Amino acid sequence: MPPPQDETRREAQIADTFVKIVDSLVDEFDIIDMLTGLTVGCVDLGLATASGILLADEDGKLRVMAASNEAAKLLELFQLQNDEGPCLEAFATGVPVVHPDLTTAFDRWPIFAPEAVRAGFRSVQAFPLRMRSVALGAMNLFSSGTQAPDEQAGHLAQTLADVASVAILQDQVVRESDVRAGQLQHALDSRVAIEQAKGMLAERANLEMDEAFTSLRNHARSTQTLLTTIATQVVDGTLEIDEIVAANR
Amino acid sequence: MSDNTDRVARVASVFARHRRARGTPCSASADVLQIASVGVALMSARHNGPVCNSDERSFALDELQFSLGEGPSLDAFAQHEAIVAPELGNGQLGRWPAFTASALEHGTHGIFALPLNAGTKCIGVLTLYRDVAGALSPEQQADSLVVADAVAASIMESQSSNETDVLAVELGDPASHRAEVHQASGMVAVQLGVPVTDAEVRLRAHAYAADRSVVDIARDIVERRLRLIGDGPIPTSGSGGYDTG
Repeated sequence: MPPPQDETRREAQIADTFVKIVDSLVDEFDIIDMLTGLTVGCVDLGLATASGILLADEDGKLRVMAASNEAAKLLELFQLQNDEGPCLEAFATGVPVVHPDLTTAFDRWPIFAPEAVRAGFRSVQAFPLRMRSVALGAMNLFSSGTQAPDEQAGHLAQTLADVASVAILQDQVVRESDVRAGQLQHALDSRVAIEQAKGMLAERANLEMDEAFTSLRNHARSTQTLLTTIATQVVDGTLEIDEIVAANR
Repeated sequence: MSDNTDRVARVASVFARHRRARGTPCSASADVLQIASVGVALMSARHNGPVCNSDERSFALDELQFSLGEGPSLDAFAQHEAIVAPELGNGQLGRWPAFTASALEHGTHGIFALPLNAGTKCIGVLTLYRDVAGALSPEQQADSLVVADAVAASIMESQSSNETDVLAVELGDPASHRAEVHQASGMVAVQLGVPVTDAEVRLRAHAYAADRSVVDIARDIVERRLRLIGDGPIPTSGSGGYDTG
């Protein structure tokens, strides 16, 4: 039994790690920052000697996103390059992969296990980053000593990975919304620019509004440019109205 | 938590019912909040335009803000936060003097302008106009935030099936509604040799000075009955049609 003050300190540390992940949900969110914080948090909590995270990109290809140190980063890259290792398995199966002694894992991972041992690690755990049935990536925990199975520590690591997964998905939703909001506003601006450009053209060439619109459209067609682009250029002065007037004569 | 889940479900069902009955996000919002005058406007850094209005008054007051270039809805967008003016006449004349005076004439005493959020961006504003002064009830207040989210979601939903640079028809074409104002701004820009944004300000100033709506003035310009010239009419403070006291 650890003395009570140690227990309190550890609880505070755990809470702190969670807060760091959740914090990134509300503030300026940076996914690399959050994931790096998670790997360092796992080390600080004594869950590992080093930690690394792989995340699938839009095409489903895994990439190294964060690591607590250079050795962990190299081991993640090594798994990707050789298409072998616990992180890849956790990602593929969606369940944690645990190996307490890598010196006995040369059969299972003939390329990865010797390399990990050479890098100074003795045991490995990998936890999937997932949301329901969607696999997002996986987190590796490397330890320099052999590791007896520790249900509590494993549970904590998986919970941290789950919270990080929520943050990742939330960030995706927000970014998609931002893109769509920008498109909506662009559509509004484009419609307005067309009306303004019609007015400018009508005034300069003494045209009716529908004649002005036809001129703009003809110019867009003959120059193979979008109507909204032509209109915006007229409004901001980068396209001379006289050019359109002359072309339509 | 479950209280809010119930709230979201209740609001969503009212919105769905209005959608089936060919109502608008405004009619649904008015229904949920039991406030007669509700306006929804789409906004960008450069423009704004109505998506829907539940009644004539909300339409007139939304227009007035646009016309004057000041008001709670414009502030809610610019500041990306809710602007609450529960007692419009009470010491708040200073913030939007011209708009407040006219709003009071329209019998409006409380205004609540809520930003419509999509991701981290603000795409427009939901404005509630009330003929009585006073805060919203706690229940209305909680509902109003959920309603604003439902309105934003329904706008994004309407637009999602559209090409990226074309506005969805369901959004009521906020640009063409004021087509004449934008056309007139273009004409005035050429007449005065100034940027279009400056021309629009001139247009507004002229309307304000003449105590007419911007749309009216714009129509005169587009039909070539009116021309703003270089040193044209200058707005004077006494001609706004109200007493600033």
